[in-house]
Amino acid sequence: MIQFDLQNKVVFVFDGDHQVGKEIIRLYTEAGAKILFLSRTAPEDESIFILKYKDGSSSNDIGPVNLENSSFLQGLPDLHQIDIIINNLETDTGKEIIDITPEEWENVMFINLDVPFQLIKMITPLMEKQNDGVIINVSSTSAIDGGNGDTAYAASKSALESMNKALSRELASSNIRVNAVSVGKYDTSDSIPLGRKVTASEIANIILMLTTPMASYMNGQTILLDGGKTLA
Amino acid sequence: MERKKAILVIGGAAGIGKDYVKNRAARGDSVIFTDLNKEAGEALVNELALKGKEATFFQHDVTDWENTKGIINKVIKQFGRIDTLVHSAGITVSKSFEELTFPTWKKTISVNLTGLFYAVKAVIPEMLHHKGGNIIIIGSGSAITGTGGGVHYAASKGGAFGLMRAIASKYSHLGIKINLVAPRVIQTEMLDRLYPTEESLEKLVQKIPVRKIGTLSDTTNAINFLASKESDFIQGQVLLIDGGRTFLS
Ligand SMILES: NC(=O)c1ccc[n+]([C@@H]2O[C@H](COP(=O)([O-])OP(=O)(O)OC[C@H]3O[C@@H](n4cnc5c(N)ncnc54)[C@H](O)[C@@H]3O)[C@@H](O)[C@H]2O)c1
Repeated sequence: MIQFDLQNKVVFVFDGDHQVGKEIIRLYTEAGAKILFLSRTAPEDESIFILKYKDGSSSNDIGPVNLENSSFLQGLPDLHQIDIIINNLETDTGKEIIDITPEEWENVMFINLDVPFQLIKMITPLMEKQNDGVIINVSSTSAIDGGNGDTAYAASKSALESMNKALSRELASSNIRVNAVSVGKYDTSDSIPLGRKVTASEIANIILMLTTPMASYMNGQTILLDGGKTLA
Repeated sequence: MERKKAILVIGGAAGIGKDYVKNRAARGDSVIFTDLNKEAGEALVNELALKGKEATFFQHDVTDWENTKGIINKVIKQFGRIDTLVHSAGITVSKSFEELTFPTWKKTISVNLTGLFYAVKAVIPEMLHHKGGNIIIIGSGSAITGTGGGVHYAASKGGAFGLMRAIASKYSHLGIKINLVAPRVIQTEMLDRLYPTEESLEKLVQKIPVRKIGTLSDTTNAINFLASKESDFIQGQVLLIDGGRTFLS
């Protein structure tokens, strides 16, 4: 495979706890990038994030993320740049609309939309100053086919995809590209033309490619990564 | 004689919702409408009464779950069921990403998306109970283009697409029909706020392939079509009412 050199790049990964996030961190570390990522210290409370920093094999905690103001970003160790944002943050309810409580809905909107919005809003001034940046939002084919019927999850993902489009338009003049990767999260193997589910490394690979100069003209897109199922 | 249909319009005191309320009241359906704006709601009831038409109004804040649930329960008690729900309540506060604040983002998502979730959540059990019901969401082409009000507005309107599709994926076989009308550039107060001067409006017209602004009868006709039996094989779709603006220009 082609090896990408991201030696002088700083990547901010929203969510480093789950399988795909971990694979993204592994891949970008391998490419030489410095990585900031969000992690949860209290698994029972999804809304508390701690920011961590990883450079090669060394990693350390920077501190809790404050969504009210961006001062926590000033605490970054000799970092004055963020080149790539990978928003891989998501949660779901696993329920149909009748059973989703207003609190569960609110939690999905918070994790899947509010937090990414707020963090992207805090980071883009830095990218604007650099006149360079790439943002990736990880979405789901639930936005297109309703997925497993989890109304909150599907709504949050289609909202994210529209946000992705709007952001791509607004940020293009600062040379910031915004794209999404949509994964067939709830598809079963027998419904997928390729006959199997996607792996975490296949998702991470596409994201990596989209954030390199190889994809320098790609903007405002939602790339379907679904083994040929949706054809939308 | 056919049973009178009970139609609930949320956000029916102005613009697209109001025009549909007037249209259905004129045809003698049981029309119930809600809106945050009490004055405008009551004025519409009076306006209809002067013409010998009837409609029932409830003041309603779509961002309040208990309020939504209470109103839907009242409507069902009074009218027996809800045949059609038209959800038109929405706000737009045009802001660039740079100007946009978190409270404006949050407010737009809660009115336009969470409000829709509450309404659909409240009517679905009732519709399932009667083995049928028709939901028509007034969405927006902004969900497709990412333009027309800002990141917050596009996101809030985009959310309706996934919501609709999740409902369709779960309840189509149980008699729930759900579709979305996506207007753009329809002459309402909302449009006046986005294009306040004659000049800005003229510039806009030049960008619309059919070279005119849409009217409220354009959206009402579309809603009537989706509410009718004639469209019963249409499910989970987005119907753009945009003069070609979205894909042709
Ligand atoms: N006019 C257009 O060109 C256009 C284009 C795209 C989408 N839309 C959508 O169509 C829908 C109707 O738009 P319109 O042009 O008729 O706008 P409008 O402002 O004339 O009507 C919207 C109504 O929603 C009500 N409302 C607002 N907040 C509410 C709340 N919290 N609870 C209950 N009611 C509330 C308002 O009081 C108002 O009566 C909106 O969802 C809008 O996003 C309109």
